[in-house]
Amino acid sequence: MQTLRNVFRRKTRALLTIFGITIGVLALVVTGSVAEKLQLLVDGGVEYYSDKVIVTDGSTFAGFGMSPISSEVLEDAEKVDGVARGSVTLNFLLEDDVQTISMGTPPMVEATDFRDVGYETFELALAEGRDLTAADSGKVTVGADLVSQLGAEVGRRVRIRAREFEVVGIYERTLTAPDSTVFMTLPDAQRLFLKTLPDAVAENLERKTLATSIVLFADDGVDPDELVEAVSDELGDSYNVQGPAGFKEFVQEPMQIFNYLIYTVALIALVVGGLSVINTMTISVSERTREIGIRKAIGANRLAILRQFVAEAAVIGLLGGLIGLGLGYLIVEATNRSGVMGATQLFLLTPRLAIGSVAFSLVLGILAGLWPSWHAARLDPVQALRYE
Amino acid sequence: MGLALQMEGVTRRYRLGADNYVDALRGVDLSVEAGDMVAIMGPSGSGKSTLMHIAGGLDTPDSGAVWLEGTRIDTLSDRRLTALRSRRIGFVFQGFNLLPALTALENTALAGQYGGMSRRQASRRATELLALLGLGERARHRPSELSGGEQQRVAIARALMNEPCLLMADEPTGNLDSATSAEIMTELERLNREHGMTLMLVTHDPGVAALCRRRVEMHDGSIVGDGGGGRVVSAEADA
Ligand SMILES: Nc1ncnc2c1ncn2[C@@H]1O[C@H](COP(=O)(O)OP(=O)(O)OP(=O)(O)O)[C@@H](O)[C@H]1O
Ligand SMILES: [Mg+2]
Repeated sequence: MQTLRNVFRRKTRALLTIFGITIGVLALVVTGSVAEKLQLLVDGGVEYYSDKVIVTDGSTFAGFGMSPISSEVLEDAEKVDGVARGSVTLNFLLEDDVQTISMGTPPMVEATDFRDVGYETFELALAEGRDLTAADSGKVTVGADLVSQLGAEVGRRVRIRAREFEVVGIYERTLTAPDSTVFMTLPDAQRLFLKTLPDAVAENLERKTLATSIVLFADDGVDPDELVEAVSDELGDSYNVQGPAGFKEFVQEPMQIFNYLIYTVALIALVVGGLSVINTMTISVSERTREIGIRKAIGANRLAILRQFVAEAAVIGLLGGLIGLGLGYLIVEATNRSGVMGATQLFLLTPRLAIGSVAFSLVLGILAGLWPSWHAARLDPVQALRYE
Repeated sequence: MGLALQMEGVTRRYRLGADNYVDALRGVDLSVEAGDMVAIMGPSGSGKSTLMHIAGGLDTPDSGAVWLEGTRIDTLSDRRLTALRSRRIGFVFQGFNLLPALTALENTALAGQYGGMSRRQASRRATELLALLGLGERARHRPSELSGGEQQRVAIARALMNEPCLLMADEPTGNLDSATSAEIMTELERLNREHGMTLMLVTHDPGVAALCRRRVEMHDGSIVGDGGGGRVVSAEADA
């Protein structure tokens, strides 16, 4: 209580200093929330790709293929020793031009031949309705982020690339790529996809074998990364073969650089806040020299003085942190809800980020307060008493 | 009775620059009997405050030795000296030196907390002391809401929090009018007489000095006179 009173003895100055920390924590919370969301996306991807080998067209990059390949390669790939099962998948953009700049993955249409059933370990939980089966021609299931964009409701029809589909299921939010995906049967997807391609390209393609990637599952006890070379040899140079390690490398390095960038910016903001705490506490100590002299004269030892001033700095850090977290929460929530960044959630304020940023500002306050407080603790009481 | 305080060959030099200094004390020897009441007098700048600060462990001498109730204090570490000082010595200053942001009660209780009391203990004892000094009604007031005499009584209450054996007062009546000054002196005298508290006080006021049993006269950093007070000590107080 007395600590709080001391901090607010100079209201404007205290508030400005707290505000400095608040801005730093706000920056940390908001940018950190973006990083956390992206991290989750990346982790989801890494997990999804951890047990499979993906074959795409040789012109594509690192398994993110949307150029057509023929599903006939499936047979060749399945011949490779150690490959248990292959499955054809087809992915394409839900809309030609991605309307909003999204930090996550763009809205996609996805289809498989259902040959992966029993091999695919990644499962999507349903919020409503049921899963898609091979017999569901003309029907779709919808990821959580696309529900409002498409106006999806179980039993209702939605328009996808100028064709009507009946919604049979809606998935729970996963905060990863499937949130912005519509799932349909392979023949339906092949028909739609063909129409998205330029006529000159489409003429040379066989609809029934149209695919964008082949997913390969390894035999029990076989490391999918070890299959990459064998599959590559079997299929030849015109295909890109990607294992879990390749995917990880592909996404994690940029993610790390992004993390460094984002946290560096936030940390700089916080360090500036910390410097203002040092400044405020130094002024406070020199203004209160006489008070320190009196306290020492009536029996306060160095530790007691040190503790008093460090506690004041800690309170400044803590209040700044809590207010910053509160404002950050409001901004993150408001932005996520308003949907200005597209249907996909941009921010994810995790508990570890919330606790971490407040703890960080508290520690920052304490560290910034140490030097001025130590200075206060070492004041000579007689000199301090003479000070006017 | 034993010695409350003993100083031997104490010197203190304040450095003002590279070769510019003031010798505030030039080899002071002084012994104070427990239970005595001593006035320190002398012109401004003669070293009275410096003597009090060193005697009370607020400052350390450049050479010489200081004993408080037989314990040598000039060689103690800051922590132990502070602990000893807060429990055995009470300071009252000319400028009251109360913390303006705290109430009379909080100002008083603070000394108890620094002396090792719990918050509640300190608060209870502070309330008692303030009542004893006639400030029961004023406990929740801040220093700015108190008269000079009341502030000085708060400062005395604060100095008494840890039941010190030695009370040092540096011009306790310097800022007060003569009536208030007399009140404060009555209070201090009573503490000395009824509780046997050793009292050292710096004063310029001959009337105040006359109330003391012993008068020490300082000049230019040295003790130049030491003798009995100008007052006939009553028989009952002596007994
Ligand atoms: N912290 C200090 N730095 C430098 N010089 C000091 C300091 N404290 C005291 N002095 C000097 O030491 C001498 C003795 O000072 P001291 O305060 O002990 O005198 P005093 O007898 O208490 O005077 P007064 O009656 O004015 O209070 C003076 O010349 C003073 O200027
Ligand atoms: Mg003086």
